Amino acid sequence: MSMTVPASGAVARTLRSVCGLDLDGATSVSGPPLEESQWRELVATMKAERLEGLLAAAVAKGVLTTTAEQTNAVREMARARARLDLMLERECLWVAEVLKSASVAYRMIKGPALAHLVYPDPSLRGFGDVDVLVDPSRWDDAVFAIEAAGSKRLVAEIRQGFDARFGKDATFASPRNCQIDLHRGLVFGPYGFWVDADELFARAARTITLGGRELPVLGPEETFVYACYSAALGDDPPRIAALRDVAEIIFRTTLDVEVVTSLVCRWRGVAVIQRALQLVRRYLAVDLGESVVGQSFGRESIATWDRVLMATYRGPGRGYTSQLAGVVAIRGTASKMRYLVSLAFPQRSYLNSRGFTPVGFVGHAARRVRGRI
Amino acid sequence: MAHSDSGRTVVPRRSRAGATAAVDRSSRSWRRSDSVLWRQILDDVVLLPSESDLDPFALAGGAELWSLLRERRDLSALIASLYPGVQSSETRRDELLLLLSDLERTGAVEVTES
Repeated sequence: MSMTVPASGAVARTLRSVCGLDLDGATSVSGPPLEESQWRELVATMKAERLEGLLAAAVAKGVLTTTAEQTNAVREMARARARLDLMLERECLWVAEVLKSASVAYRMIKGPALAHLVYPDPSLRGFGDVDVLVDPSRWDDAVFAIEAAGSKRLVAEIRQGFDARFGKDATFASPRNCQIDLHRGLVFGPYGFWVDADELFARAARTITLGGRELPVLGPEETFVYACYSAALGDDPPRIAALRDVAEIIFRTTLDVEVVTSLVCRWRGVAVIQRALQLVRRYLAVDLGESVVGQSFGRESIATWDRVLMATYRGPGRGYTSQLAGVVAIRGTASKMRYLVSLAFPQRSYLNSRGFTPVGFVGHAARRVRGRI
Repeated sequence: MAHSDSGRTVVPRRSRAGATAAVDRSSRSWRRSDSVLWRQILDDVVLLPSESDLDPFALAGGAELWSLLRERRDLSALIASLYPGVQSSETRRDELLLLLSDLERTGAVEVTES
């Protein structure tokens, strides 16, 4: 889910100011408290982005002028967000224990990892689930371990064997009813297939400390690349939190640009990094020009072929079109056919878990894709 | 630093009968448990001991106390830091002891007997 960020007006200016809090070059705003309707719009956007903690920080730092009533509202919503985040962190520890017991290598990724890895205060980065990247060669073992520990898979595999060969992730409800996403890859579609997931495990893991325990996370360059893929290809319009992740990493992490370049050249993802930086500039209005990464990836235009492929990740039916576009990255005619057949003819359990009949599934996909025309 | 049940502070508390157990514990010192998960929101702290099945709970206005508990401190040191220049009253001392006792019971803080 993502929100459309207001393009102009007091709410847009305030939103940019809050979302760019403490980032170099971000605009600041001062003035009287927002009117009630504007305030409601700001609050709705920050809630949808799970950035209530960032809003509270903006109030605490005086970046945002609020009435006493608005301050209390911010306090309440930020506390509610903190409660959710803490419950999810407890689930991180649970998942880590399950995977460790099954001897499956993993890396904590996305929200919980980024909140503790790159943000100066984890309350600035809310999240909605637990994301774990597992060793792709042990995918089936990881799924078995999570289910054996009491989690329930929410959407069945599209076809038998699809996940281990082509899948990106699987979503589970833990015994405490928190959402757990096991990831096998970074994103759907061609750019996901071009990533060599084994490389993500090649370098020694860094760690974050949660509840007194150290959990492995990706290296700094891999973390940056993943954040860019999430920002550029994950949602349309992009999540502000994902854009902020990219900016936080650029401003607060020492990146080896040669390593970043080497990774994305091998993964054909240079254009993804370029687009992510463009989006950060556009939505957060921060200046990346002086950063090493900004200088390395910010100046060249994006190639036409990449524009075409990245367009499949945007607009109505993008879940279908990006997966369909993935066929260009699959090697071998037999594999391409197997992939396309799986997408076109899902097994019954997958359709049931999504509430579709076979005909209804095709109709839904067709309507969504037709909405692009 | 406040501790009230008026809708803001929600540290899981004992019954009134349990509360009487908060006797003088001046020989004790407290620090944050390593296993507690927490967030600071403005001057509040939200806590969740990771090894418990509790729901997260808030320590309204507790940011300063939580900051002090980064290191092991006894009651006198906590009172001196929280209420500088103010003569400690029995009520204030008892309230703080009760709060620490509640936090200890949830697993949010560790206690050491000297």
